[in-house]
Amino acid sequence: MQKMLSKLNRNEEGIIKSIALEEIKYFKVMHLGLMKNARIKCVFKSPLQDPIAYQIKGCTFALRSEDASKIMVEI
Amino acid sequence: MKRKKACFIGNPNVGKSTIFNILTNKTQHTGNWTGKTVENEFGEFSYKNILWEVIDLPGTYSLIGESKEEKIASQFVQEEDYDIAVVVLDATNLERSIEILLEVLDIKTNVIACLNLCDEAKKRNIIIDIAKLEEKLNLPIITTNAKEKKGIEELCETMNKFIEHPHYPTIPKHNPKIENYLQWARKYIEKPLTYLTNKKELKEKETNAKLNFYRKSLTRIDLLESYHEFGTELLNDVIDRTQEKEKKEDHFWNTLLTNPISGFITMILMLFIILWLTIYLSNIPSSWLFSFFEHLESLLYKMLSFLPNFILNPLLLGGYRTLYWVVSVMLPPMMIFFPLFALLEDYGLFPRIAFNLDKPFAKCGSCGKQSLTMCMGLGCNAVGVTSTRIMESKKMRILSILTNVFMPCNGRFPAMICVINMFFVTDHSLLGSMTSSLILLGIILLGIFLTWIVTKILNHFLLKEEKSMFILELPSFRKPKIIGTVLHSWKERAIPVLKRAMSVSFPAGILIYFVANIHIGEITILEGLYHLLNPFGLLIGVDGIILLSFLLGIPANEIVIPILLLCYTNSGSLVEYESIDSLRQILIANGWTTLTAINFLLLSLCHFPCATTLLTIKKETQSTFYTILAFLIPTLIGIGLCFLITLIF
Ligand SMILES: Nc1nc2c(ncn2[C@@H]2O[C@H](COP(=O)(O)OP(=O)(O)OP(=O)(O)O)[C@@H](O)[C@H]2O)c(=O)[nH]1
Ligand SMILES: [Mg+2]
Repeated sequence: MQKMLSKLNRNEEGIIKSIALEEIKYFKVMHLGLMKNARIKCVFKSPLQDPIAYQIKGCTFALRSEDASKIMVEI
Repeated sequence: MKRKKACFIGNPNVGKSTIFNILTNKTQHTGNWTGKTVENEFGEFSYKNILWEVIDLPGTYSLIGESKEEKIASQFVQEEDYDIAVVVLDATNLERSIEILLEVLDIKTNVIACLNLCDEAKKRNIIIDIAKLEEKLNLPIITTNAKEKKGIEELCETMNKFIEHPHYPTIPKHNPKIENYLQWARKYIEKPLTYLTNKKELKEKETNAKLNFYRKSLTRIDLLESYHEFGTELLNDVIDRTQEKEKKEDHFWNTLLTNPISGFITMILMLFIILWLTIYLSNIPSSWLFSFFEHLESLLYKMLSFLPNFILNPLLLGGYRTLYWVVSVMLPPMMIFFPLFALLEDYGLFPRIAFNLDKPFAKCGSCGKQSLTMCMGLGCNAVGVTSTRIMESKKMRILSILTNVFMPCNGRFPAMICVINMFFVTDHSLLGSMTSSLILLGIILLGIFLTWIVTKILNHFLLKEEKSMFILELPSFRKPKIIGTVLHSWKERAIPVLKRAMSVSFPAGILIYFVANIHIGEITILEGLYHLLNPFGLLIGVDGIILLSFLLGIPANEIVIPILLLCYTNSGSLVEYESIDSLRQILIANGWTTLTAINFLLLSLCHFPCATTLLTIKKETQSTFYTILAFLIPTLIGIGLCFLITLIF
């Protein structure tokens, strides 16, 4: 089943299937290892629910739901 | 002795500056957040028969990006002359940090790698087969733990050895897409990779249609993907993450800080504790310093009594007194606040604050990283302004520069504490100091509130620009080296600030003395200035002297209170200096009321930035307009607030 990255629950994992971000943004997230076929996990949410922290390999970072909703993951 | 040159390159927050500091005995700032170092830093050390010149580059993820740091680093790597590039890797995140190593290997052969943060990787049970990686890349990889200074000797040894016996590392293999291009393009151009990423390069080749085609169809993203693929394959049997676990402290803090209720309470509580420790612990040393300097004053008076009065008085009553006021009031809080703060920074708390506060900042048109720059501003606004380079877009950067002054820096809040202790909390017991800290906390919260409002308003007036992306890294917590961090923060933060304040206070004191004692006609210059400023001062509920002190405090905010007292004491009502408490008498004798104190606090929070900060703003924005705005906005708000309060009273 595919769903938006922003809809992942805490501690849920998925494989990235598509990234519909503009080139500049995509280039930025690539540095975090956020690429197609990478395994990503939602680790925690901020107290106000947005942004959300994700983890890929050893790297933890936060994205806003607005951007994360443009990324689809397979769970 | 031979002279050789090496540069340190790598991702942000991998410990480059920490290694650089150990090698060169320098004290570059370090901190557990991304983007601490923003400019190249040079240093030297000698090991055996080689004198090394080393350069600490700002952290960057890639050499092919477009951000400022990426450009600084990539320009350096490609164009400067150096004997070795030391690529610093992060053992807890090798998959990512290896990419820049691959990029460097593609253009340089004089490379060695240094795998730092090995202790952290071990704690998290990440197993790395270093020998295998070394063999695969044909490259010396030294494992280090910069925090405990482990492996540094080996690093030097390897650097020296490399000079004598250089060898050639593996060149990364690209995917077919890139490889096809490379094979073809090598015939025509010298640096085919640079050609793909650097659009300016090789204008004359523009005519070649096929080359042009490649350049249009291959993007940086393709290139990065190619590195990524190679990296993934390379590390496939090198890293074992199967037994990886979350560090206990990470788990603890993540749970505490991301909970909707405990998250914000913890953050405020932490700020409160820092303020309280600062206030409580500095009371006693402050009074010691006071009495010490007073005794010294009478001693100096006797020793220098051969001097005529018109030299002795300005020196002692003007310069010396201002100087010792600055030291007694400012030194203790600084010596406590800066280290506490540095410990939190090194521990890695600031990115979490930015994470929690992103939403409110986003509502104002900025992002959570602004809170990071505000934290830095709490130490020193000039540092805060420089740290705005982490902001994603130009607009957000300007917003955070213009509002940074709403965070009362270390030069201002000791003065606030002084006034709070005089007018609102008169007992200095444990409880009293808690009340003082609560009031100060309130003022800082007001500052945060003003920051939000002003950011939101400015956001409407500044140039619109496309929304940029918010990415914030949340590094894992790293226990700082306590003693090292404390000493470093004294040496690098507290002492320079104090020195600046002292060097301003002595001449300022002498100046005030003359201003207060030279008569023009019937009245002294000070009285003249007082009469000039007083009507306006009264309008906003303060007096002429307070305004004058703020104006004279432009070179360094620390001198506001001393100048204030000096003006008061020199204009007639001389009161014995005894301790912090005797200040109250001086102020009350000069007509201070609770209202004056409130307005003084408001003005301390909202007035023009000090000269150093203004210069930094000019340098960072390259714009006189923004510098003037940075001056006017807080000043007008401060005046407005005081005026309102006075009306209400
Ligand atoms: N536990 C541990 N902590 C380390 C080690 N090396 C560095 N640190 C800590 O990691 C943090 C980041 O170090 P810096 O030296 O500022 O990192 P940097 O690479 O210069 O970062 P930028 O300037 O942002 O590029 C600091 O808090 C250091 O104390 C290490 O080997 N082990
Ligand atoms: Mg650094």
